[in-house]
This record gives sequence, structure tokens and C-alpha cells, in this order.
Amino acid sequence: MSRTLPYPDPLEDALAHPAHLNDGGFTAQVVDALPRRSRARALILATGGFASAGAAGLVLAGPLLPLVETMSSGRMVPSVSALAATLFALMAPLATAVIALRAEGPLGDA
Amino acid sequence: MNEPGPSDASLVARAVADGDRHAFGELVRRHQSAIRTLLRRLCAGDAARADDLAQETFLRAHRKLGAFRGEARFGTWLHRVAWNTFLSEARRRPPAGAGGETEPAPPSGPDPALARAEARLDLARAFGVLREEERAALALVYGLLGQSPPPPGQDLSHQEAAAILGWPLGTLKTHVARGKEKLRRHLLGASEATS
Repeated sequence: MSRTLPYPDPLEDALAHPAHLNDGGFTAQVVDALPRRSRARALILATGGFASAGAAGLVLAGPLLPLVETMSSGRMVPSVSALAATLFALMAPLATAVIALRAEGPLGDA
Repeated sequence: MNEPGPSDASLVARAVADGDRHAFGELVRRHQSAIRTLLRRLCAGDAARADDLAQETFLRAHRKLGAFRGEARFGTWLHRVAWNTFLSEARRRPPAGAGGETEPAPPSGPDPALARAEARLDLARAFGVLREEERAALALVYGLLGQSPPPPGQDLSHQEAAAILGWPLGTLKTHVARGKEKLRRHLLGASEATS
């Protein structure tokens, strides 16, 4: 070894300048073990959470809409908005699941 | 670390903002030797255990990368993560033999006497003769010193190591001095035995 010794004490030198450990595939092993697209997954889960919460709200609110319309207009009419709300409430979780699967592949691939 | 190419800070920024796995891989490549050496010393030469902990260290670092504020050098922050990883694992392990001081792991080889002498000359294994506090103090102080040598007259690595360990500076220096003395006696005994 041609390395100069900044420390007169060999023990100090050995402590401060350990032999470099060759990577030997260590980095590749760590990178392989990293979770994949965790940010995308977090975004999708957050979006799915909001959509599900919105859907749950519409399911609860749907039956009330005809009543509100009846009270405000004073006459009973078929409520298009209630039908639309119910349809959206049914479709939103399904759409979220399809988007998640297309973007992520099967969950748990990390 | 004085590596050519982008700085550690810019690699961290890319890894956080874009989820750039290559940027994080470059950080691992740069720091793997220092972190594995630190953990081998903490594990008294048990290379397999140390490498498992090193991998866990980098995975933890990846999870917490957003919390790295750049107030310390990335290497220093990584040493802190490695120490915490080691501590978590050490708490789960059954306690070593009473007394705190353990002999280095017996090496395997065709000639046990020769293999033992070689092992005693190996510095990482020699850490096994130290008490845990002395091992931690020496491993961290010299590990941090390897990140970048401080200006003359400053003991920055001592201050950083004391902060990581949560000890007063004086306590740290006491453990460093005692640990070095034990290592010196141990290695001197080994070299006399082999000559």
C-alpha cells in the first residue's frame, strides 16, 4: 500500500481509514428491495379514499334529495339528480379500483 | 464524501421529488462501504449480520428521505439511521454473556490457533473485546471522521457522535480513550503472540 499515514499511530490510522468494502452487488440488492412507485400508490389510495368518502356521502344523501326537491317546489317530481347521485355512488368505487389496478399492477408487488 | 458528479444533496432532492431510484442507488453506492464498516465494527466483525443491518439502514433511509433537511451532511444523517437500526435490532436480540465484554467470534479454519491469531489482527473483530459503549463511541467517531476530515483543532466527529448517541461530549471522549487503549493492548498482544 502506498497510502500516506496522516496519523503517526497505526491504530488511529486503521480506525480512521478502514479498507474500502467492494460493493459486490450490495447496491443492486438494496435498490431491488425498494418499494415500487410508492408515491403513485399513495396518490391512488388517497384518491380512492376521497372518491369512496364522496360516494358514501351521496348514497346517504340520495334518498333525501327527492324530499328536499318536494319541499322546495311543493310538488312531487321524478328526481333526476337522485338517480344520478345513486348511479355515481355505485360506479365511483369500481372506477377507482380499475384505475388502481391499471396503474399499479397487482397490489403488494414491492 | 468528495465524489465526482452530482452532490449528495442533489441526489437526495431527485430521489425525493421524482422518486428517482437511480439517484438513490448512487447514494447507496457512495456510502455503502462506510455504513457497512460502521456496522461491522458495531457487530464486532459479524459481516453477515452487519450487511443485513446495512440493507435495513438504507431501506429506512429511503422511507425517511423526505425528513432529511440537509442541516447535517447526508453521510452523518445516514450514520444516525444506521445507529438507530443497530439499536432496534440489538434490543430484540437475546443479551450477550454477562459482563459486557465478549471475546470475538471464533473464526473457522483448518488451523484454529492460526485462524484465531488472524482474527485477532482483524480490527472489526477486535471490536468484540470492547464494551458496547466503547464500541459505539469508536465506531461512530471514526466512521464520521471518514466522511470528511475536520479542520485542524476541531473534533467535529466527536460532537456529531455525542449528539447521535445522546451522550455528553466528555462521556464520549472517555469511552473513546478507554476503547482505544483496550484495542491497542489486544492488538499488541496478538502481534506478540504471532511473532
